[in-house]
Amino acid sequence: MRLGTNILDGGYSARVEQALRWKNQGGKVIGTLCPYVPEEIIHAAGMLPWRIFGTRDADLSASLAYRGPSQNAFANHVAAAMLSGELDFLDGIVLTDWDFDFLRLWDLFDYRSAIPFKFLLHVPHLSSPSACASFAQEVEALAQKIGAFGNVHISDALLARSITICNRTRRLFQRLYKLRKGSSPSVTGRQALEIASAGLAAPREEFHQALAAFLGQLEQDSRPAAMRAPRILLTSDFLHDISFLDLIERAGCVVVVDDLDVTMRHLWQEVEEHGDPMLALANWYLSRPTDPRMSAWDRQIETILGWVAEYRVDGVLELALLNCRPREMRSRLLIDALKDAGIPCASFPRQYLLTDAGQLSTRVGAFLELLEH
Amino acid sequence: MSFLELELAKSERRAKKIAANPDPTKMASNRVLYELEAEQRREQLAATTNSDHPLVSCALFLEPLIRAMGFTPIDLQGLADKVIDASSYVDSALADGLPEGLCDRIGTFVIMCENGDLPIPELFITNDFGCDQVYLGWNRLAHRHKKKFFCLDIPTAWEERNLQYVVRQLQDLIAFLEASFPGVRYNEAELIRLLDFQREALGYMRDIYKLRRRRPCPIPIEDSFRFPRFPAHYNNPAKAVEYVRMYRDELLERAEKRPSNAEKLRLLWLTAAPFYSNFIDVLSEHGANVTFFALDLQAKWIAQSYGTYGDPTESGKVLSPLEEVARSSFTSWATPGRKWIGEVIWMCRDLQIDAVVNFMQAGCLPSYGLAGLLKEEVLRETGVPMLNIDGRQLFSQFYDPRFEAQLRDFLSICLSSAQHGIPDLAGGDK
Repeated sequence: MRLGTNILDGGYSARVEQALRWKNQGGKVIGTLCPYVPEEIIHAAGMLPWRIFGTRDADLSASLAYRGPSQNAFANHVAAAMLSGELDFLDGIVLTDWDFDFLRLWDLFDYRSAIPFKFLLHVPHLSSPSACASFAQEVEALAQKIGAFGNVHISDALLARSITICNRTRRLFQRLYKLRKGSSPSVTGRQALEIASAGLAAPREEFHQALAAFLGQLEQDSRPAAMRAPRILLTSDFLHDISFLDLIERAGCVVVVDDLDVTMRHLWQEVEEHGDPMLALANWYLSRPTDPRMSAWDRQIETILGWVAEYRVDGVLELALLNCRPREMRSRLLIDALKDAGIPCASFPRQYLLTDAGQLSTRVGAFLELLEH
Repeated sequence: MSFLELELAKSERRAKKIAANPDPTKMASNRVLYELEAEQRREQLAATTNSDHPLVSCALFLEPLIRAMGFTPIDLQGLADKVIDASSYVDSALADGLPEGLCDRIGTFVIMCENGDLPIPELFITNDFGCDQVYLGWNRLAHRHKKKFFCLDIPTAWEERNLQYVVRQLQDLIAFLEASFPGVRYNEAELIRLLDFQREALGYMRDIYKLRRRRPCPIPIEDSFRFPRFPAHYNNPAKAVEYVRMYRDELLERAEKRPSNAEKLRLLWLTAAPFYSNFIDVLSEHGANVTFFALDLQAKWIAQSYGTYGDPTESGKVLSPLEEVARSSFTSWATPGRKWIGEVIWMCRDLQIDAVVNFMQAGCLPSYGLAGLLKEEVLRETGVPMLNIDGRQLFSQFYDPRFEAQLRDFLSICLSSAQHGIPDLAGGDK
């Protein structure tokens, strides 16, 4: 089924168009780089939270004047986007120390970007009560700064409203993901990623309308006979190039669940809507599962194993973004745990953009053949 | 023999050799250093079989607290640095799924632990201090081998609320250790004693730094790459302080006797050194001296001399022992670039530096990611040119002779240039 409407178009140009449309209406657009930036804060400030994707230009020479080729591939593409002016339309950015490479990306923005508002959010590597309390203070500091920038006071009531609205996004995605559990998923992995990408750029209320309408149609449609293709769990980080999903699914499988920072990790469960909203945000953002930059790798792996069972997955495919160290260092533990559980799995490195389609296609094909036999 | 046993034998051998036949051209304090290291290796070997007070892997700033609780710290990456040529570990690292671009030090210590060349500590206290690849390496070992681990969160901004947040975590850490290991108790008096030793040792290290301001710098290149460890690193901290004092006195004595040579270039050397290259010969050929090797936290702790334990200057109050440990956690060499760039600019001015060499070891994300900015900002603020040069640190089979050629070219250009400010070098510079 086609996505139909522009709002659900998660392509690069469409996402930029959403931001420019918002600006033309007098709004401010705040770029965020990773899933730990509470978009509720930006929304409560009356601004559009816009997840930054890297440049689609293969020429990274401007970025490599400041960064090494053996650094996080996504961060290199973001640096190139900033240096080339692609991100000049942003009114502000909120970056985090997701890992040290991202901290160095922040330095580049700090020194070389003319974007008016810049904020570095420190994110703990753990979700203990004291870490959550500290992170709540960080989020409070962000709220104050962004409020001052936008000349708006972000009250608890405003924030609570934004939490409710963003939770609706999460509930809509949970409906979407429920449709992928069945024997004949009515949404491909490609569509799910595209919709998620669109949701990270579009005005929230419009996006809800479009997604709810799309879901309504899907839920009414009759299902075809059960698919025989292998059911795959895809796990990666900063996977924004939808053509990866095209390649994987065209090889003869369906991605029924995706452990990605823009999908499951970002849309998992809901923020508590009662009590202290800052603490509720801190608790939710730090407690999300499976992000390899957090220290509790054992719990992350358990969660992935749970998804394998919940979505009746036949095999797990890890696409490790080049030089994404948290992923790379956790990878062997994840693969070993999957093998110990008798779950077929494979891990392949990837660039940020799909540039080595032939090699990846061969590898994925070989993995799927293994599953079929 | 395990690596620790080999190191013990080496340190004992060297100490005995000096005691039996001291070489007047070498420092007498070397004997004390080797004795300290031998005692340390004996202690670490004993800890591998002591379940009540086992080996603990932690950041250097935590060593006073860990010792105050009776544990034995082990610096895994520091031990990896002592491997003469770690090339034999490369294949094992890749086979074990470690990424190709990983820093040599991290890959080496992880594989040394996996191979049994180094003992795997029973406890890892991980944190996001400094380099997070170290944290990831420790996390990997801890999870894979089901060892206890405790994660400390160190925020990026040095301010009172974050200081108190780290203090609360240290209190949680103490509670965790007391609950996890029977008979272990936090001993504040011991922590204070170790912090007092640390203050004394830092004082001596700062005296050495002040020597570097002299023109010409009286400290030879070989000694520029020596960094005395802080006393809590060793099981005999009083002796460790005595070693630093002796080392300082000998350097001072040598400085008075050293002939005034033609110091053509005063270099600031950043980050790390390529262990297998003859770069010291290249520097000497050009009359370049390494005025200061700004390794790890030396910029803040030694060069800029932030207030130590008992000194209220920086914080506006005298910190408690735990607050002092927490404050130490913020003085990593890495952190947001503004701090590091600021420190380098400060050192260039303070030491009247002519040129900076920033050796970026392959896989070092903090240094690679800042190199371009660092070079531009230092040049803009001080007029001092910088060579960003990369290479492998421990794996000699990746050695590229262009490394020394680039270094030679840079030094030649600096010497012959009429003004500060040099063009970008081809191939390897940013």
